[in-house]
Amino acid sequence: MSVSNAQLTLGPLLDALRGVKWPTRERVRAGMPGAHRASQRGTTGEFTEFRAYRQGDDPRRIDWRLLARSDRAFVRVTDERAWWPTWLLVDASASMAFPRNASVPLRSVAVPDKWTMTRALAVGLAAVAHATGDPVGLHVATRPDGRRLPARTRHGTVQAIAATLDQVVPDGDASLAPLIARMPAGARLVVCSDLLGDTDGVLDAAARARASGSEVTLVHVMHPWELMPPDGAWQAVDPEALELRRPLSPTGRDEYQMRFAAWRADVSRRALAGGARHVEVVCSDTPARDVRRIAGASMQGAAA
Amino acid sequence: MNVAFPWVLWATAAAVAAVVVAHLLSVRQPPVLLLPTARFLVDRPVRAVSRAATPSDRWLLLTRVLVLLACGVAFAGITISGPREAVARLVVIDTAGGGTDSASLARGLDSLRATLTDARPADSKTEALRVPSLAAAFIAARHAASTLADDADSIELIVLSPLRTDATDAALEDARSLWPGRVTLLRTSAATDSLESGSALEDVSVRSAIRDDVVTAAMARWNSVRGARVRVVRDDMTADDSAFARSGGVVVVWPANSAMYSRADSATQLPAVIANGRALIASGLAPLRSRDSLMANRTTDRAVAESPDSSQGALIAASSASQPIVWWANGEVAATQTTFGNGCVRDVGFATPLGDALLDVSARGVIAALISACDARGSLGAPALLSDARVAQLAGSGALAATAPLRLNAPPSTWTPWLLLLALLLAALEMLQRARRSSDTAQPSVTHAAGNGTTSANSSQAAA
Repeated sequence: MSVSNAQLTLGPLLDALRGVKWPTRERVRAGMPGAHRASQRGTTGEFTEFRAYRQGDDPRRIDWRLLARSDRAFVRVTDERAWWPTWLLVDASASMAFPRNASVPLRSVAVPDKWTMTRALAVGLAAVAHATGDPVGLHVATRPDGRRLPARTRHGTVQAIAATLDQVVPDGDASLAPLIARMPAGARLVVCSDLLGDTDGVLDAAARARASGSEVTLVHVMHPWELMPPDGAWQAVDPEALELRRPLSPTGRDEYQMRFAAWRADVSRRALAGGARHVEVVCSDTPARDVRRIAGASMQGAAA
Repeated sequence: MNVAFPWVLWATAAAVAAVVVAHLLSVRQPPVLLLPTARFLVDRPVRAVSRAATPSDRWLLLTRVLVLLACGVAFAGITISGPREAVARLVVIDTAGGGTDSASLARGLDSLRATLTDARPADSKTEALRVPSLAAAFIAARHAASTLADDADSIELIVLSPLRTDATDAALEDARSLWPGRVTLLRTSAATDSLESGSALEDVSVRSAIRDDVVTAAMARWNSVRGARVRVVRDDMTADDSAFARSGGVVVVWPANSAMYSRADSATQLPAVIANGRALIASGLAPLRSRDSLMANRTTDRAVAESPDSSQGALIAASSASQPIVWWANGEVAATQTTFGNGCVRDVGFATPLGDALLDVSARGVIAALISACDARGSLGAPALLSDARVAQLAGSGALAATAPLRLNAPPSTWTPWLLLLALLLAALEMLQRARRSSDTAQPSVTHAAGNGTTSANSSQAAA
């Protein structure tokens, strides 16, 4: 199912994502009260179990009625709930504009370009995270300084994120790796990129962020023309490295697809090895469905 | 306009066509596609063959075509001359045999005049030649045509010839092949074939005491004259022979006894006898030992001894002296003829050649002199006419000879150096155009328009 750019407006997308929650894959650190199960046990909140009283426990946590019935001292154990800041790291390099910048014949393709799809995914994921009660922040990797919105839970955060993304024009070859490295530990990092820039740097930074306690999801955005190049003879030029020119002919199309598939498989393997999730998104898909897939996979991971 | 080397023009046309096709099938860089995943494509030279409905680089194509045309016209040797006749005539008169007599030539010229009046305008150029044979006619025409070739597009060759068998020789076929077109053959003599005249050939008989097959065969082979009865006596002459001669026959006394001939002296006497303009050269041609006295007394003795009327015989002898009919190569008489009554007696003063020399064609003149009628001695007889089929074969069919292949040395074109200079200038212009184009489109330009995020790409195009 293909969608047009007009269908990627915020209204229908947010309506399609209403009620979708985005739980974490594992317990989060203790912090501000939130919706995510925290790793710290406490005395307030949701009851979990009884535990025998040990010396040093707070006597106020002893369940007196159970003591009266069983003549044993038990304390009530409860799970703490904490929030989980979500940071959207969006790649706005020149390759994300494909195929808007490709050539005249490809502009008439009904499939939205990668940047439009990335904007929709980012807004959708921000809306889901915001609906869960998490603060949501945004970092856009552009030259020279990028754009940044701090993580907030207040009303209008999603609209602010959408407005910021609308002002961004994909260009240049800014890398996401420094942004990932600067992210605070213990957060959810969602990287929306085609991973065609500094691939090794992004994967290494993602692995380090994962080791520091963050949850890293790599949303790999691809266009159908990248999976199946257009027919005819072309002189393919990398928009981020104009000196890189390769012939795109019918005879070399099979080898291209084989190489591209091998590269994607390698990226996925390295991301998983680093503890990050690697989710491939094709621009011909529906953004709401991809957002549900990303959030649902997180939920499945949390259940596991 | 004359073209010395037409194939050069054809080659030039082919080269021009190839250049045009090359501009239609130019190798160029394909259009640019900004593809982020270009790194996964195989690294090869970025070129592709593309076809177009209209030629690319029209000015460059025009320059190249002009270079080729200038070179082609220069090397083709094109010359432009003034107005020329469409057809030039070349009249060749074959004077062989009887074709030179004024009567037959007049008849041939009458036919020629009628032909010219009927078929050709009066102002066409005509040149006439006289040659001794039919083969020479074609050879001379081939050479003379080179002078007429510059003034006409084609040449009509008219040959006036008796068209007899004696006018042909072994070189006729090769000589005819030299002329590349149709030939008009006009017969100049009204002579008819002797075999069709109704007269029988001479009745030649050979009487010999020995086996004399070669002489008999030679008499039969070269018996081409008519009107006489001939008796060849290879031994002594008898009274019957005299009566035969007196009655109008021809008696050829040619002793076969070798003892009557002296040994041939090659130092002083060439073994050759001549008659009718032809020489018979053969071994064994020895003279009679006593030829002088024999030839001097032959007529008187035979007349007095064999004539029944001695006074009449004396009268005959007195009125008829011996006349030479065959000579040795040194001029001495080798055979004589003496009138005898209504006929004649011929005394042969040389021995029979060894072998079958008498059957050779060189013996034809001598044999004809010996067996011809008394009043027609020395005549070889009228040779047969060429048949109509043969004449038609020689005349050929098709068009007249074009002048282009007849030009032996085409004059050099004065345009050649100027055309080559023009070609050089155009070639330099073509190089400048290529250099300018390669500098303009060395690399495709990809510019990113700031603000709207669009990227424009210009594909470079390299001419073949």
